[in-house]
Parts: sequence; structure tokens; C-alpha cells
Amino acid sequence: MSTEKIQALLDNLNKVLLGKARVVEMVAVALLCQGHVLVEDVPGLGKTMLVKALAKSMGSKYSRIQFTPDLLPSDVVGVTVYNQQTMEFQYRPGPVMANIVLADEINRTSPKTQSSLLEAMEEGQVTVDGVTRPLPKPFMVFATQNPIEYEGTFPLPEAQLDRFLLRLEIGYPDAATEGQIIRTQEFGHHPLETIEQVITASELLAAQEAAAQVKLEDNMVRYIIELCSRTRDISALYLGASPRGSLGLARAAKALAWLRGRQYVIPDDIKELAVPVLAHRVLLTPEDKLRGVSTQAIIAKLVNTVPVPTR
Amino acid sequence: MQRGRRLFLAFLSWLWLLPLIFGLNAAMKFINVDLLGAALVLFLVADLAIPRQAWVAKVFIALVIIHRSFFAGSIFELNWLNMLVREIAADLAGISASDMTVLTLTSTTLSLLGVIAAQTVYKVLVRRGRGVLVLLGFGAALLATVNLWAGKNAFWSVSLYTVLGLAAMATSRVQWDTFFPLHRWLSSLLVLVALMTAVAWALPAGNFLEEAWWENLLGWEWPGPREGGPARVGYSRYSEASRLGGPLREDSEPVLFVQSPVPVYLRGDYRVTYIGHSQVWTAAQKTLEPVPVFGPQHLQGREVTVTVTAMGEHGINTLFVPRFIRSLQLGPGVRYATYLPVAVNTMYAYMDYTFLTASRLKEGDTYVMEAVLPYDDPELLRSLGHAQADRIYLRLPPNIPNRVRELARNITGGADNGYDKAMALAEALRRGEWQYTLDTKYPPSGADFVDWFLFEQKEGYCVHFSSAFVVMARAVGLPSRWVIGYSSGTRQDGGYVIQNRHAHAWAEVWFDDYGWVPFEATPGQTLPRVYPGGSPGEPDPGEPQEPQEPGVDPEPDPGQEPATPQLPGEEEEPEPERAVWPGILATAGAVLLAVLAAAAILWHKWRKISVAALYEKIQRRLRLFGWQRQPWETPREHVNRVEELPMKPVFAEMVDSLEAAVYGGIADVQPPAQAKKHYSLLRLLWHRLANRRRR
Repeated sequence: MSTEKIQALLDNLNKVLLGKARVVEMVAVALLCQGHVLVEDVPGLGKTMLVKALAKSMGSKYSRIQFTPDLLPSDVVGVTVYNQQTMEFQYRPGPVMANIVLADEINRTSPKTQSSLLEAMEEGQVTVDGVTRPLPKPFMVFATQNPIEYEGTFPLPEAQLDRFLLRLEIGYPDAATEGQIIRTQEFGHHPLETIEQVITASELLAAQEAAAQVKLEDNMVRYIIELCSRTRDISALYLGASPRGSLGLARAAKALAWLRGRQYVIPDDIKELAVPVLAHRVLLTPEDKLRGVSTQAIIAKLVNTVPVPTR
Repeated sequence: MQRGRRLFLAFLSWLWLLPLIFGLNAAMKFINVDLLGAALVLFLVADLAIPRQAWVAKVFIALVIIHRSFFAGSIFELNWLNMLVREIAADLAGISASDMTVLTLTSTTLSLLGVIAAQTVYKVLVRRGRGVLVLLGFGAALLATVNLWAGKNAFWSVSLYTVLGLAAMATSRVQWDTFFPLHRWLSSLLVLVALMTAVAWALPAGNFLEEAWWENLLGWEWPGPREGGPARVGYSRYSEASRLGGPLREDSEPVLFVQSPVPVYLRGDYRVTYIGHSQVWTAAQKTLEPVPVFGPQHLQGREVTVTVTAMGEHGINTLFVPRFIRSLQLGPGVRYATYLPVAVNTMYAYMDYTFLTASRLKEGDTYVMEAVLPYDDPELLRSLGHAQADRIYLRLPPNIPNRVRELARNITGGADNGYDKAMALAEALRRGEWQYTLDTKYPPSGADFVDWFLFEQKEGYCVHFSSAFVVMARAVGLPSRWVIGYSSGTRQDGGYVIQNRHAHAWAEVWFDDYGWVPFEATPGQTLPRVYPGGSPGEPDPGEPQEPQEPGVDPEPDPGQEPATPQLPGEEEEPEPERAVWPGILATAGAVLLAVLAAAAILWHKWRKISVAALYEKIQRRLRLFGWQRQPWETPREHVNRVEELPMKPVFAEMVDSLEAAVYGGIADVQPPAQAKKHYSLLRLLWHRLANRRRR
């Protein structure tokens, strides 16, 4: 399985999200790992467009859930209604029954509703009125959080944050890119309209399979373990990374290596992924939180202290 | 704090430079230590004041010092630089002809420039305090080699540098563990010393290191005020009134050219009366001895013809002759000062005469002698007494301290005949605690010359040793006298060139019915002896040359002299050629074989080196320049970060193959061939130097 199809997918995404090749690459990594992505950034940076482009490139079903405080779990997973004609209860699928789900502002809804989505993310299935129904494959959740407004929000608990493979920040485009964005949409056309499907579901599943076959030498396993276990010793951290974190780091590193045309993981892959994979899985002590330290900074500093094995 | 540590590390690593500089100076006869010391201090100041461009300042300082020491006039009249260069060039061009002796100007200039170069290289190597250990290791190995080569005790210098290395490790904040672990430091030192020991052992006996400078490893040799400067050795400009026993300096002016099949000691004059101060010996009260009964015609020995030609502008006015001359023919223009009844076969009666000439010999003047070089049979000499000699040959001044007599009696206690006593005295002086040096002090007024030498100063040159021999011989009842002349010189052009520095003093002891027999009491000197039926000119087995003893001795062996200190004033016996060449060839062959074998092993290892091992090796080299990978860096991050890295594409290629081997688990990954070439230490050093220049 070559990376051609995935590269074409990346090209599509880059057409929509200008100047953010690294974010696009991370999205592809999550896709290859069957992982979910938490995007934490201010509105208006192109999150929705990115997800739409992804769905369109895959020719798959896309849905968007705008999370509000009064949203109910049934609004997410669907409901069974009594069909008077057939005299049966009938399942009416919720928006989660899609390939790509954009969960906008996930921290604005109640924990109950949040957890209904999280079961779907972890198990790949939903349970409505005692009946378990599988979700379509591939299935991927893009959740967004606004880091600025905290009023009236229900922050995701640690256990649930852990289920996102990556946490990404898109960030503002630079001035030149911003100008380019204005130019491309000057006459009311969005580049999204020009995107065509480049990969089928079965091809994506094959790519996922191929990425999982990438070689991970023992020294790289040791390096990952060293990175994760060090997070448990850092005094500024109240909670370190879980084994799920090291597992995620290994899977993501394999996907990144495959994406870059290598059949083995090198430490650079791991270092690059450490912040997106680990930063949202650790918890700051309250003092350091008040001091304005970010977990990203702590993880970034950590990878520049752990020795890299070279033999 | 940082500066203090840097200074300390710099000092540690300079320590090995100091003996090198002193050795250079000793070899090149540059004894102006004060000047060199001042220069070193100024250099240090320059290093601290302007660390980056220090070498410019140093060159300027050196030029000023040289100008003030050797040139008159203003330093800004740049013509003196032209003269300086021409002088040095001419001096160096003539260096092979004139026996390794160069002008003080040359040696000073070269020494100062050498120090500047060494310090600059050192600074390039050890920026940020690294590489100190490497230099210390090199210093230890160098000193060990030099010491072993010279047959000296290398144990202490090796220990010293090991300790210094440990001190450097302990005081430096550099991560030694990752770059030069303790065991590697010790093991590489061991290997270096072993290697150098082998080299030292294989090399021919080194006698070109003329002074035991390495003994004074760390101390400044401060000569102190001199009384009118050291006198010159030799007779051509020798004045009878000059005071004996003070410091001497070498004079390489050739005096005589001796055509002789074998090396001979040439006697010029002898002294009888020991006065123990000032001139030590006076020329007064000479007497003739009875003609030996055995007579030279009865002696076993070898008859030779010796032709002596005067050289140099300061001619001699004494005819220097071998022991028993049968005839003495003067060349044209040479006349005796006093009439002598010279006739064939009558010379032996007058063998105690000093043959003075009417005027000093001019260059090219010759005289020819037929002489008998007798075989002094020890068995015969042991049976002979000393009764016939005049009493003046036993006379000593009354104020000779008793301890001199006691020492003489102790030394000769085990001998029951005159020959063995004399041999015991000579051997004791040659192998005892007394050191050979030209840099002596005059005895204080009132002190006895021999007593001062034997018990206080304990170092001296031939005058001291031979005088002590005569005084002690007389103290135990051996009639003896003090002889001055020339030792056998340097072999050259089928003969022997005698320079002023070959001026020598030895002793003779009277044996009844036999005559005067010479004894050599000075370390490093060998009387040429003749054997019955054997080849003449072999060193006497009774007075063997000091063997070179490689090996690390924790205790200085009292029998171990400074290895053949070939010092001014005397020259050791040139070995017969046939003995030298096979040795040199064998040594050269052994060294060549060892080098080839080592090269083959290294080449083999180098060829099949794995990419990971090569990478680590190169990292160790890069560390010297501060270009190494940090532990937390991936190889890629390293190659992208370090801008100064030479030939980056090659290095990036090597990183690719390293990743395939180490992280991809792919066996048989070959490192790029160019990597081995481009990352040799020399290339890196050159790259660093070139880069600095550009900056």
C-alpha cells in the first residue's frame, strides 16, 4: 500500500486549510490510527472546513453536532420511536451515525451528553434503549473546545480527554497566508467546492493496516516508555501520562513514519508527536496552573531532556 | 569562577609543554631561561586580555623581545626583520654541518614561535575546556617516551600526569562520563605508554638529548648570578691563569683533525701539584720518571700512525700526542719551542715531556706520529707496585678534609692491589651519586675543590671527576697525576674531528716498570683500549658504556647514570661503524613492521566498522570542537542544528544510514564512504581553523 492516496488526501486538505501542513499531517496521522482529534482553538480558523474537506475527500458521511447546554444524549446517538404503522419501535439514528463527526464546542454540553459521545468514540458503537448498534467504519470524531471562554462550560474530565489520540492547535495563519485566503475566496467561491473524492473507505482501511505494520525497534519502545514515565515524575504535573498515552504515542509514531515513506520509526517521529499526544493527558498542579504554565511547554521541555538512544 | 577554572585547566595542559620547551632549549643551547619565562608570562597576560586575537599580540611580544635582545636601533626600521630572517635561514641551512648547534638568535626565535603555535593549537582544541585530558595523556606518553629513551625513570612523570588528569576530571564541569570515562582514560594511557616504551626500547641509544633536562620537570632552572659568565672549554683560547671548576659553555670550534685507524685520547699536558683552589693544579714541579723496564717494544699492543692537522683560527701551541709515541715528525712551518733530543726509538724516554711549539699552529699545519697503543693487561698491572715513583705524586695539601681520605679508603677497602684500587675509585666516581653537568659553581673561598665537589656540590665535569680521582688515589697511596688533553672526537671523513668541546681531563696512575696508565673517572666517557690480537678501539669492558635501560623504575638505580650525557667538553666514543648500521637497520625495520601491522589492523577495523560505531567515533571527534550531538537530540536534529559541521550532505547521508541501521533494524547498512574521509580529526581541525579565519 503506497502513500499516494493519503498524499492526495493531504493535498485536498491543504487546499482548504492554507499554510497549516503540519496540522493537516497530524489529522492524517489520527485518521491512519483510527484515533480522534480534539482541536482546541479560537473560532474562525477553518476547523469546520477542514473536517468537511476530509469527509468530501473520502466520499463519506459527515455530520456536525453543535453542543449546547440543553443538548440531550438522544440528540447525539439517536432515539427509538414507536412506528404506528409497523407497530414496532424504530431506531432513528442520531448525527453520530456518520464517518466523520464534528463535535463543536464539546465542553458546552452536560457531562451526560458528553459521555454518550465518548462511548461511541471508544467502543465504536452506540447503545440506544438497550440495543447496541455499531457505528460505520471509518469513524472519526473531531471535537473542538474554545480555550478562551470558560463560563458555563463543563470541562472534559481527564478520563475522557485520554480518549482523544491527538490534541491540536491550529493557530492563526501568517500574514501572507491570510492574504491568500482572502484572494481565494474573493469571488464567493470556496476551495471546498473543487474537492473531489480521492480515497475510498476500503483503501483507507488498507492504509491503516499498512501503517500498523511499520517497524518499531526496541530502542524506540524504550524511548517512548522513558518519555511517558518521566511525565509521572515531573513536579509541576499532578498526573502523568497513562499507558494509553504511550500506546497512542507508539501508534501515532508508526503512522507518521509511514506517512513520510519510512518503514521504521525514528526518534524524530516520536519527538514531533509527543506534545499533541501527551500534553492533554497530563494534569498541572493548581499552583503551576495559576502561574500560567502550559502542559504543552512542559512536554516540549521534557523531550529536550530525555536522552535519545542511538544504538 | 569560570575564568579561574579555565586558567587552571589551561595551566594543567601547559605543564607538558614546559619540559618540551626546556628540552628544545637544552638541545639547542638556548639557556636564557629568564627571557623565556618573561615571554611566557606576557603570553599568559595576552591570553587573558584578548582571548580571541591573542596570537597576534604574542607574535608582537615575541618580536619585541627578539629585537631588544639581539638587535640595535629602532624596532620600526623594519630592515632588522629582513636580517633576522636571513640569519635564521643561513643558520638552519648550516645546521647539519655544524653539529646541531645553532645561534641563540635562531633558537630563541624558533622557541618563541613554537610556544605561540602550540598554545594556539591548544586553544583551538580545548575551547570550553575539553580536550585537556587528551593533551595530558599525550604529555604523559611523550615524557614517558623521552625518559625511557634516555634510560631515565619514567614512573614519576607518568604518575604525575595521571594524577593531573584525574585532577582535571574532578575539577571540570564538562561531562567526562559521556565523553572520556575514567577507564578509557586509564586504558588509553596504558596503551600509549606501552607503545612508547616499545618505541623507546627499539630506538638506538639516544645521545642527542644532551642534557638531563627532563629531570627538572616542573621547576624553573634559575642559574643565578654568574661570575663573568661561563668560561669556554678548550685550549685554543685557554688561559693558564683562568680559574678552574666554574660553569662552562660549549665551544664547537674545531681544533684538530686526527687521522688515525682507531680513536685515541691525545695528551697535552699534565699537572702534579694539587692546590685545591683557584686553578686547582699548578704547572710547577714537574719531574721525569725512570724509563720503564718493560719498554714499549715489549708491550703488547698495536702500532699506529697518527696524523694531526690543525684546524680553526685559534691554533694550539701544544702538540697533543697519544700515550707512547715512537716518533714525532713535524710538518713544514712547525717548530719546537725548546730543543728536544728527538730521534727515532728514543722518544719513550721523553714521553713525559710537554711538546710546546714555538708559535701557535696555523690551520693546515700537521705533525705525524708513530705510536704504540698498548694493551694494559689487568693481570700484569695487578702484580706491579708503585715504589719507583717520585714522592711528589703522592703529595696532598695538609688541609684536605679527613672525609675525603675516609671516602677513598671506603671505596678501595675491598682491593688489595693498586690496579684494583684505581679501578674501584674510577668506577665509584663514574657510577656514584655524582652528576655530570657543565653548569657548576665555584667553591666558596676556603673550601677545598675536591671536598666541595664530593660532598657539597656533587656535580661537575671532567675536571672535578679526574681531580677527585687523583686526590683519592693519592690518599690511598697510589702515585698519580692529572692529565689534560682531548678525548677522541667525532668520527668524520675517515678520521676524527676534535673540537674545543672535546677538551678533557683524566688521571694517570704510575705502575713500576710499566709507566703511567690512564684511568677514566668521568661518567659517560670511555677510554679507547687495545686488546691483544683483538680489534682495537673497542670500549674497555671494565669501563663499559652505560646501557640504555628501558623500563619504568620506581627507584632511581644508583648504577644508572644520566644516559651518556654527551656534553660539551667531552664527546663519547663513536662506535665502530659495523656495530651501528645493523642496529639502525634492524630498528628501522622493526619500527616499520610495527607501523605496518598497526596500520593493517586499524585499516581492517576501519573498513568493517559499523555505521553506529562510525557515528559514535565521529561524535567523539566532533566533541573536541563542540559540534557534537546533545544527548537529547536526535541525529537529524543534530545535523540540522550545527551550522559549522563540514560537508553537511555527507553527514546527513550518514544519519540516514544510521537510522536505517539503528531504528530500522536493517543489518549490513554501509556508511557513506565519504564520511570516513571527511571526518578525520585533521580535516575537522582544518575546517575549524579555516572557519575561524573567515570569521
